[in-house]
Amino acid sequence: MRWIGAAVVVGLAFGAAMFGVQEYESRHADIEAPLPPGGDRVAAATDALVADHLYVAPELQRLITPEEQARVATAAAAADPAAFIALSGKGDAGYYLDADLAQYLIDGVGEAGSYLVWDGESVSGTERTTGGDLSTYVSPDMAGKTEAALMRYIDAVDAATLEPLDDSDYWGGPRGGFLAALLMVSGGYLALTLVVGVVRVLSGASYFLPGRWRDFVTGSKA
Amino acid sequence: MVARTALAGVLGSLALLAASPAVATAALPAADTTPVPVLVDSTVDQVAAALKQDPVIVEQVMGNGDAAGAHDRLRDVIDGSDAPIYVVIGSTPRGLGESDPANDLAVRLRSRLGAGIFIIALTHGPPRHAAWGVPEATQYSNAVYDAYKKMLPLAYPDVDWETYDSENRPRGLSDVAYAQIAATVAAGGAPWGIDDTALEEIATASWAPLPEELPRSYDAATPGGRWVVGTVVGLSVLLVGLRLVLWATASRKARQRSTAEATALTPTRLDLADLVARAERTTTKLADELAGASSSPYADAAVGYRTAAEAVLRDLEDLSLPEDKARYGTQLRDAVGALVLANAGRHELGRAGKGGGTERYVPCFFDPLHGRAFHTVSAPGRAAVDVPACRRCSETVSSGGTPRALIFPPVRRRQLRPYYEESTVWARTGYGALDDELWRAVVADRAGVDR
Ligand SMILES: [Zn+2]
Repeated sequence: MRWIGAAVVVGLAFGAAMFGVQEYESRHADIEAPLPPGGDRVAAATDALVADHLYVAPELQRLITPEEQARVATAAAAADPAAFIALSGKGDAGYYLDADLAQYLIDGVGEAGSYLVWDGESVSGTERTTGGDLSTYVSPDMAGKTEAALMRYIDAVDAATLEPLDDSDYWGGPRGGFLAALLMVSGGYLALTLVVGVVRVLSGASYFLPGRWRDFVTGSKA
Repeated sequence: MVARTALAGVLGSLALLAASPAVATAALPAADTTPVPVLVDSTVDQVAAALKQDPVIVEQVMGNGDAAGAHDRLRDVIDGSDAPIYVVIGSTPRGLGESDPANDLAVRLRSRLGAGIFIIALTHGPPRHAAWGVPEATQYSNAVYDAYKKMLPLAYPDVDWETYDSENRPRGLSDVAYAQIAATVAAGGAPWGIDDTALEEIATASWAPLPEELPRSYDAATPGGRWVVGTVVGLSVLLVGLRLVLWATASRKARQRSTAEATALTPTRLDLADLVARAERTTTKLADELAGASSSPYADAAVGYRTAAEAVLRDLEDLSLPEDKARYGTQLRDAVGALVLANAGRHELGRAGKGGGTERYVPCFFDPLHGRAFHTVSAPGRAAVDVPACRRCSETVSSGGTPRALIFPPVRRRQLRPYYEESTVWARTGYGALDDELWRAVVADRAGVDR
């Protein structure tokens, strides 16, 4: 009877663990999954970045002359790590946040380096790095003349190096996750026994529940 | 945002100068040959000129990912309609009022293009639709609003738009979808409206809703996260489940024991005056019997018991009331002791008569008032300790229970416990169950107290 119960519990525990992991994955989307289609502006910006590291939306052309654009594009292409700049405008162009566009661009261009997205009016752009981490902080500050701000950014990227990503996650991988969980569960179980025990004692019963863990080993009936 | 508004303000004041009718007529012929500039770089006249060539302008910046597709869909709807319909979706042209540029543009376009229906959504301000020179123009406006309201639940059947949940609330429908409704209603003519099939077709189109935020890599599932969740859930279920199995399958004995432990903790009913009277009577009998006894080791022991009993009884001449809990408790313990001492003394004398054939007087460990112990059992909770027990108590133990122990009424409730867990001489000796010469222990204890 005891062993049948134990087997059922082990099965339940496995099922619960599987279910928990599934729930966790459904709440934390898989980044390996392909992005939803990005639309015309994403495509235009991606093509421009692949061709010459710079995209300027039609409605932002007044911010930077063709000559300035040529200089910025050359500098961005020469930078190491590579710099990619999208002056993308502000509206509803098939993506939500500038960070979303950066993600589309990283996905579409597929080259390691620093990606800057600027809507053309905020004081600061949005920077995302792929293929590693930049060794120094690169400010996406866009104050002042557009060409000067972009050159400032490109110089900062060029001065930095691309460090390999520290590939362990917040928990330190499977091992760290398992050990952290072990700590959590033991703490939680002790707290639970304490609460149950105190409630039992207050209601006049013994602190410990009937039945001992050693019963599993000894098979004792008493 | 502040910078944008300031910029628009400067452009607006500059553009006011350019927007005079004279400039407008002059600019028109040029628009036929030069490429259409983006709206943000255009004056109202340039926009009007462009609309004469193509009544629908959709710029990428407001096209929700498919400006060309939106343009074609709008053209399909408005081509062949009775009233002229113009659609402008894109960046905000120069020279418009800051607070409601779309409405401003509609009014100004009307003065250049004449009566018609204008549907305008710009990067600044709310989208607008306006009708001039058509029957029941106000009704048109209301019909578009009604259709838009009906569209939200069609586009998001699972969302409750009444309860505000900013975290999970979808962003809603794009201006492209709004313009498609306004244009469809406009093209249908008066009486204004849109049939449900057309509405649902727009509402459920892939281009209608605004895109949501993309999943972020820092929020993604990781191997460590999977292990944390899996281990916490699995191990918790395992631990709690196994513990419950242990509880459920704990042998009946163990469960009885724990219920017995819970129920046995009530004070034993004792009557101090009666106990003292019985102890005095027995001690008197012992004294009488001793007077006629011949000398023997048993008689010597009996004398010891009598001495001890009398010593204890001396403190019991003045009985206290139950309200005086501490003194009353001490007297109860002593009264039981005096009775046991007297009984033991009489038993010793009896042994003399039988040549020492019987055992010494051993009371039941759990409660000496149970009488003599003829059995030995393991003390509950302390399997290694054997204690003497009366027949009933030994039966209780062998069936897995806990015998009802002698429990004195406590001074405070939390002190409720069997007498043998106290720190009296009675507890140490088990009223003689654990000590062969109770009387010596009692006399020694009294001497210690007196000193
Ligand atoms: Zn007994």
